[in-house]
Amino acid sequence: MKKCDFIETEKLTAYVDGELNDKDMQEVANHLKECETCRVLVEELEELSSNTLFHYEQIEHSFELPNLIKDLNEKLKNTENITEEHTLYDNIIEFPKEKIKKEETKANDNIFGKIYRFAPAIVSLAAILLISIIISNNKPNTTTVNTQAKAGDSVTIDSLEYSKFNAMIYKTKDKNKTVIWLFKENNDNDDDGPI
Amino acid sequence: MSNSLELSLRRNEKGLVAKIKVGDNKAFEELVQTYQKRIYMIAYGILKNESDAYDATQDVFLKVFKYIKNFKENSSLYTWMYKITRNVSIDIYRKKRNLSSVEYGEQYKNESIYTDSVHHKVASPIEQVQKRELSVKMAKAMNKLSDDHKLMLQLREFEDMSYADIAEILDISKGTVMSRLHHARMNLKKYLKEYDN
Repeated sequence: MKKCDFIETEKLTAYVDGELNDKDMQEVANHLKECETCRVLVEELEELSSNTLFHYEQIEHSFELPNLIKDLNEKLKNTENITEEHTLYDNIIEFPKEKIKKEETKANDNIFGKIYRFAPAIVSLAAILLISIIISNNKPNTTTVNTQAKAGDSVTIDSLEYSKFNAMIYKTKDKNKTVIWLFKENNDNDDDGPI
Repeated sequence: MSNSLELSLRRNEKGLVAKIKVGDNKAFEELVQTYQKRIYMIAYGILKNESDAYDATQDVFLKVFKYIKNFKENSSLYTWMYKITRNVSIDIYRKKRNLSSVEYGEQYKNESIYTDSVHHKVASPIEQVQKRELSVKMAKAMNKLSDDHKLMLQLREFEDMSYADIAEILDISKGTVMSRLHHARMNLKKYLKEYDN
């Protein structure tokens, strides 16, 4: 039979399968009215399609899998058993870890828990800060009292003399502040002051 | 699609999937009964070994049972199961690495399988002879086809899949599906003619 060059044979396969768009389906249908070569090929393709289906149906009906559901149920049962055992085993072994983990998670989730975890560091920082404040507050105060104190306004409460230093304790008159003067025992340096 | 029960089940696929998702074992059994042979045939097409195909079929349904909750229903259930079947079969094949020399469908050549009881109607003696001849002829011609072409024909003719579905499953273009399918049919036609001659 004469070969047709008008339509690709692959397109005829798609036509048989109804896989062409409407326009192409119409185009092939129109062509088939005029071209015997393509018409015969389409008939052959349809017959092949039908015979192939028949072939596979024969195969499908030539065997049975009678035990498949039973075997599957058995496997599923075993899988479930394994899962249960595994779960139980995991629970026993993992419980303390899980508990710790949960507590850790809880602690992490809780703002107080976080503070609790960092409490030593916070306390240390607070202590350092407090000392710094005390020192920084005391130092200027002492100095201020000292610089602002006028001679004669303060009352000497006590004085001490040691081998390394001397100390004098004053009480200011106006603000009633106690000032402690420490003097280094250094004969070469008269520029002494509160330590 | 080979009988009305399967047709109705396929139509009711969504309902079946929904039931299995909520743990309906009866629905799962229905699914197995509906698809078991087709899954087995796909697996056998890859593995060429009955025992391996049986193992693969079991694995496929176990995976379906386990993962059906993840099935998004973007594709048909069978398309999804086909992908699982292909992956499972390839895994088994890789593990075994001893592809059997038995040809596809070899065990189905026995004429006793071609009974007309399959078609639920009484065939005349002439029809019976014709069908037996056709069956044997088809089996021989099909055995000459490459695995790719057999798969194409199985998916298109037997599974009634669209080009788009086949393209998705095999990760090829629709054009390639059309071309491969056409060549499969042309080769089949040639082998059938050889048999006639």
